[in-house]
Amino acid sequence: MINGKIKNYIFIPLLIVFLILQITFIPQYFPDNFIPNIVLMLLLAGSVINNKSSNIFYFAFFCGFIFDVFSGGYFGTALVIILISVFVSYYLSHILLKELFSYNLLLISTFSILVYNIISIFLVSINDFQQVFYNAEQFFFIIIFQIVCMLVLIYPLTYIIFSKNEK
Amino acid sequence: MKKLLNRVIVFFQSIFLFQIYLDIMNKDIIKKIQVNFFLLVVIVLLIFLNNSGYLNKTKNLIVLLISPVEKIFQTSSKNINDFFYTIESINNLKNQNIELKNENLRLGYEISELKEVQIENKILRKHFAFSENSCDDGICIEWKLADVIGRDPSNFGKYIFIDLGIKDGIQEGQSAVASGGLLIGKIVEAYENSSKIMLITDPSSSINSITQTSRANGIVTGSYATGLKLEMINQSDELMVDDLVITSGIEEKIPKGLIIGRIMNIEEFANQVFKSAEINVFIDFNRVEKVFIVRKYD
Repeated sequence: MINGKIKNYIFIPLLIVFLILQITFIPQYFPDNFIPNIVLMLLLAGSVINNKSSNIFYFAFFCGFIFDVFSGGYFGTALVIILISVFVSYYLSHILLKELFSYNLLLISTFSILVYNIISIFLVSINDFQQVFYNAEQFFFIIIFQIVCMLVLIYPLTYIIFSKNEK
Repeated sequence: MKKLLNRVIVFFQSIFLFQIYLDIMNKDIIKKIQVNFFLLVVIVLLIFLNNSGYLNKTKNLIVLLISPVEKIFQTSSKNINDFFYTIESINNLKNQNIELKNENLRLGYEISELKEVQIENKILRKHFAFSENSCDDGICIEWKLADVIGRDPSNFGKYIFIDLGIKDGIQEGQSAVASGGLLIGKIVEAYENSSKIMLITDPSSSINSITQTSRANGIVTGSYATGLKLEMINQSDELMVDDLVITSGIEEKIPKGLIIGRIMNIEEFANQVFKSAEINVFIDFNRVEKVFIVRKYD
């Protein structure tokens, strides 16, 4: 377990900027179905730091709510998926991460993004069952693409928002 | 390699329920589980409130608060788009010019031949007089220009937000049209100051339509991966590649003659009741910045 905390004065403005970018910029510059979720990446980066407070879950809740307002489908799905992914990431980092920048960070982020995408695809399949399985290859690439984005971003993000607790 | 393999094994071992049981003894995890449980209860409550319509004011407030910042981002996004488009277009300018001239001639011929030219002309005229209303055969059409202020942030939905709402006369079911009379979607949720448009490429979207030349009636549905599809076409109806697909006007709030796309591939099997076709759209839905909301009334 890492004894660290999130720099809120950096994290909160960063989160708001990322949220607005996700709603406006990001969907325009990526092809359909290949949109990386930079807000989720930031939240996962935040959750790997074992914060004593539960702020990260409230941040995840807030972001999920905004996502649900701006996206279609059933209200509450983004909220639940994001919260589950952040909790999985928090839980795994709590028991596995002994030092911040290690292989385990890659494993945790990869697993969390997999959880996020698998639940998303499951929910999509309820609505458009045939298309999901018809385009299984494409959905596989979406996951790989998001994991690559995640791995590229997770280290700098974690570095930016991390500070060690001084006893 | 062995070290990495060990790490992977430890990683997956830790996911087992036994490990979770051991960790439940840990106070930190218990606290976090309690927080998550509390948040899940709140989510369930929010879902109920949303279904009852009590959240609409909150949603409207959120969009209202975010929209000024979004507009700034959208404007900068437009400038960046224009910049890249200019660079991109320099290389292809000559070829594009020839292609566009040919396309223009062909479209001009088709338009002069077809009945829907009246609706098309009205759409083009409206681009120069936004507030003007028009009536024909007792059916009036009103056009309202709106800015796109938000886009679906997730991978699996195809929605956009505009800056017009109930107070501007926007209602659920009205159609949204891009420049050139191209149908892009319909209003699915209208708030006080903003509205949500479901794009026609969303899998939940279905629009009653006809092909312009052969007059085959069918339903255009969206899809996550393949774009648009024209379905439910009778085997006896004729389909032609490159034929325009337009709205049929059967739906109460969507006028007849709005352009959806052009038939690309025809899928026809003798053992199936209906045939279908893939549709090529003329617009990049991700880049739409302004839309017209069409109000049809008697």
